[in-house]
Amino acid sequence: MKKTLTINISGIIFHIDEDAFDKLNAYLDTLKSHFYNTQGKDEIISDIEGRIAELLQERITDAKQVISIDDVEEVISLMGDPVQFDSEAEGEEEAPPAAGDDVRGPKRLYRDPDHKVVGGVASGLAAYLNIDVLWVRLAFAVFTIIWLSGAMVYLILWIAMPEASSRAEKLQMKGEKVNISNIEKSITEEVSHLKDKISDLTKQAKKTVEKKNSRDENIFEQILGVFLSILKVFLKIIVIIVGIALLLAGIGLVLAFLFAIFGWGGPIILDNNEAILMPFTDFFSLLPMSTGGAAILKMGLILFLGIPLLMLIYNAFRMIFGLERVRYIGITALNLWVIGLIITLFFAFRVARDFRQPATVSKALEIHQPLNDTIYLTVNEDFLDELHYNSYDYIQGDDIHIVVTEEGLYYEQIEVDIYKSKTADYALNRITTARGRTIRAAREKAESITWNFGQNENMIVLDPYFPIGEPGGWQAQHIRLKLEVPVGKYVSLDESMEDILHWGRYSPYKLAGNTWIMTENGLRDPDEESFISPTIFRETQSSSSNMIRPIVMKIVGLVW
Amino acid sequence: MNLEKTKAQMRKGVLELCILSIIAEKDAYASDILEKLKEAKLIVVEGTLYPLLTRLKNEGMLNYRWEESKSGPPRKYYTMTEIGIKVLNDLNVNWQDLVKAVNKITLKKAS
Repeated sequence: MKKTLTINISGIIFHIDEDAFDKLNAYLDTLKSHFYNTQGKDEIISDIEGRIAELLQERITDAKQVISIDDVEEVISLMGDPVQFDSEAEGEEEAPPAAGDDVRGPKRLYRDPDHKVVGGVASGLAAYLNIDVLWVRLAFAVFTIIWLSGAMVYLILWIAMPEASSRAEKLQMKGEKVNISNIEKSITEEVSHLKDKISDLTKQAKKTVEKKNSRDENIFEQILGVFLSILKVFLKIIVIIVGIALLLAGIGLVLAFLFAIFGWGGPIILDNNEAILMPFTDFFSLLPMSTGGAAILKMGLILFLGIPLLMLIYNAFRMIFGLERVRYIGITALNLWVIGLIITLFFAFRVARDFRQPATVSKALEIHQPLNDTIYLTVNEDFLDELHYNSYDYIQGDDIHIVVTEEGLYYEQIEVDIYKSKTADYALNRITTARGRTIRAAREKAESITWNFGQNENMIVLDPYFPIGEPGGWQAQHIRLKLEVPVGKYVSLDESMEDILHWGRYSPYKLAGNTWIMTENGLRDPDEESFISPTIFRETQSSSSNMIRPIVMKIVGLVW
Repeated sequence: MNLEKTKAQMRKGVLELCILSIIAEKDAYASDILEKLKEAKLIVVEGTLYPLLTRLKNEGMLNYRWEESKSGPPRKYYTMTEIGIKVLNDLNVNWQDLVKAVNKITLKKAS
C-alpha cells in the first residue's frame, strides 16, 4: 500500500505516489535553481512542466491510474539533468566544477562533504566566503579554545546548513563571492524581475484596452504579482538587516552568558533593586549544595538560558543566508529548554528551602568599662591585612560583603551599630543571625559562628570579618555588634571602622575617624550643636528578617 | 571523451538553425520540434529545448499562441516572426557556405 497525492501540473490533475512526488519535486527544484539567473526562467519552467504533464499523461492508462516513481524517473531521464542542457545548447564549454568560474546562480551555504574534517561546515563556509579553508578552521579552533564558542557556532551551523549532495548543489556552494556588491546584485535582480513583471503588466493592459475582450482576472492577478514582488524585495532587505542584528545580539548574549556561568572576566552586575556584584561560580559554591548538585544546576541554567540564545543565533543565520528550516530543531530545543527549566526550578526550590527559617542569637559580650569617659573602637588591622592579602574574590550585595580567599574560604563582614545605653555603663552586644531549613538548624548555625575581639584598656579591637567556612557552608550568617554608649560619655571611632559601621543609620564617612558624645537625642559632635541623627532602637528580630529576605529573594531571582 | 565533446560542440552550433527551420516549415509546438530533433539525433535530453525556445522568443525571432489540446495541457504553438525569417535566411546562407567550405577540405582528403 502506498500513499497517493493529487497534484496539478499545467492544469492537469494527476494521482501520484508520494515517493514519486518527492522525486519530481526535487527535480523541479534543481531546474529552478539552475535557471535562477536565466532570463525568462518562469516561462522555461512552466514550459518544461507542460511537457512533463504531457509525458506523464502518456503513461496513464485505464488500468494504471497512478504515477509511479518509475514513470517519474523515465520522464526525468528524458528531460535530462540541467547540467546536460548547457553542454547540449547554450552554455560555454562545460568546465570542470573545480574551476567554478562559469557557475551561475546564487551562491548558497552548503556543507562540503568532499573536503570535510568534522562536518564539512568549515569547507562549506570557506567556499561560500571564497577564502582558504585553513583560516576558517583556525578561527573555529581558536574560538573553541578561548570560549568554546567556536564549537557552539560550529554545531549550530552543522544543524542549519544542508549538505551539498547533488552536483548542482555543489556548484551552488561555490557560486559567487558574497560581498556587499553581490547582495546589491541579488537585490537588483529582484528589482529587474519586478520591472519585467511591470512591463508585462503594461503590455497586458494595452492589449486589453485594444481588444476590449478583457481578461480582468489576469490583470488583477498580475497587479497582485507586482505588489508581491515589491513586498518581496523589501522583505528580503529587512530580513537580512534583522538577521544581522539578531546575530550580533545573540553572540553578545552568549558571551555574556558564558562569562557569567563560568566566571570568566570577573563579577557581573544584576540590578534587582540593588546591584549585586558577583561571579556566578563563587555564588554557586556559596550555596549549600553538593558540587554535583551545583554542576547539574549549571547544566540546567545553560539549557534554560542558553537554548533560547542558540535558537536566536540559529534563526539569525537562517534569516541572513536564507537557509531552509530543519525539521525537529524547534521541538528538540523546546524539550531541552523544558528540561533546563525543571532542573533550575528544582534547585531553586531546594535552595530556597534551606533558607526558610531564620534564627537570632544575642549575646552580651564582657567588656571592661574604660578608665575615663571615652571608649575607642578600631578594627584588627593584622586580621584585615592578612585577609586582603589572601583575598581572591569579593561577593558584594546590599547585605553581603563576602571575601573569598585563595584557599577557598569565605569571610563575611560584621556590622557595628551605636546605641544609647539605658544604664550608666558601656555595653557591647553581639547579635548573630543565620537561616536554615529548620529553626533549630538556623540556630545551630548562628551559634557556631566564631568571631573574636580584644580590649586594651580603653580600646576595643574588632575582627572586621568572621569566617563562614568552606564553600557550601553559607547560611546567610551575619553578625551585628551593638555598642551601647551611656549618655554624656564619648565614643571615638577609628578611621578603619568606616567599612563596618552600619550603613544608613549614620553616615559612616562622617562617623569614622571622629569622636562623638552620646546625648539624650543621639550622637553629637562635641564641638558642634548639631546631631547626627536620633538613636532609635529597633527590634533586632524584625531587622534581621528584613535583611535576610531580600537575599533569599535574590537567590531565587538569580536562578530565575 | 573529447570526441564526444567535439561532436556536441558541432551539434550545438546548428541547433538554432534547425529549430527555426522546423518552425518555419509549419507552426510547431515543443513536442513536434523535439520529435524531429531527436530523430536527427541533434539533442539527447528534452530539457535542452525549452531555454532555447524561450531565448529565441525573447530575442524576437519567434512568437507563440496557445491551442487547446484534447489529450493534455494546452499547447504553445510557435510561429516565425519577420525577424526570425530574416535570421533563418541569414543562417541558412551561412550554413551552406560552411558546408561547401568544409566539404572542400574534407572531401578532397577522402578522395
